[in-house]
Amino acid sequence: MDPIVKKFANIFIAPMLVFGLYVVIYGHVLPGEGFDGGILIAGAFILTMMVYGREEARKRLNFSFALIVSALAGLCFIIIGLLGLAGFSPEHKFIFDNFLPQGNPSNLFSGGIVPVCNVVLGIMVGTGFYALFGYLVVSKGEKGENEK
Amino acid sequence: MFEIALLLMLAFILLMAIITVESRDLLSAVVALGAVGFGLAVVFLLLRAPEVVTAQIVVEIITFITLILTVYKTSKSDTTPQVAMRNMSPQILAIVFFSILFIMFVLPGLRALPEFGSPVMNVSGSYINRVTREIGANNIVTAVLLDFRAYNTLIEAFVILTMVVGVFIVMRPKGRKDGPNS
Repeated sequence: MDPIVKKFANIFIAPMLVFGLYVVIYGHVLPGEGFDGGILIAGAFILTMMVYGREEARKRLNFSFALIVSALAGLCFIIIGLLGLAGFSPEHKFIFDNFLPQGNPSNLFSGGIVPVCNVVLGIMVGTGFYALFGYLVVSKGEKGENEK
Repeated sequence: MFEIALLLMLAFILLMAIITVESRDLLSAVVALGAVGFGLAVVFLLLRAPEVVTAQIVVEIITFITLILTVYKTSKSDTTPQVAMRNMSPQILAIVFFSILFIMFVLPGLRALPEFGSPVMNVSGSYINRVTREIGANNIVTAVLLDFRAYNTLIEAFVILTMVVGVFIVMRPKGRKDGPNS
């Protein structure tokens, strides 16, 4: 890529990543949620992939590993729902029941299972989109080996 | 004043969408499509929905870069043959017929809509009351998405995961060793 694009990417990748993490973690207090923050995190990785090439991005974070992390996050999401069904609060038992304590509104630790679900969803969407772009992008002069 | 700004933005979006469809140069079509997306973000900002604005801008930037790269790598001009107006009379008849049918069915529905700015609060009113009492999260949209409608969000996230797995299966260069075609 051009040196201009490289220079700007070097400046912008770290703030994008930090802003994505901020949106994911504060999703239940401020605007934004797991989907938006996850796509921001994936966008930072995709920018790395576009500027420095696919091989360089694969050295940092393997695509198959990212897909496995995404699937495990989905499993965690289902387990949170089933924990609500198992019933930690005596009066109501249903899937995705809010069994954690409510906390003080507008604090970081508030809202029961909502921040936990936010973090899990952010990991799932971010790594999933990163793996999607990694599998789709085949750069020039490369045979395209997705199996490593 | 607010309605005038909204209508101006909507007219701008409509103009850009027409330019996107009619432009012969693919690069300018992609830029006009980006203008449609960012104009939509401004409309959401005017309607006070910052949640949707973040999602709209992020998705818009990713699709914009991808489309620019696609145009840069493949073809720069639209080569679809244009059909003359006089050869299109059956299509125009069909368009007129279905527009009349559509307007006949839509007009009663438009009359039954509530006034702009005074929504019907049947479901959302109870959600707003229950969020502050039962969940305690400040952001009501996230609380509804991840608590009352968490099952819906779960299925949405698994649609994305299924898409990634499908792309992985289709794009891998070598098939299974013991497959039928090896």
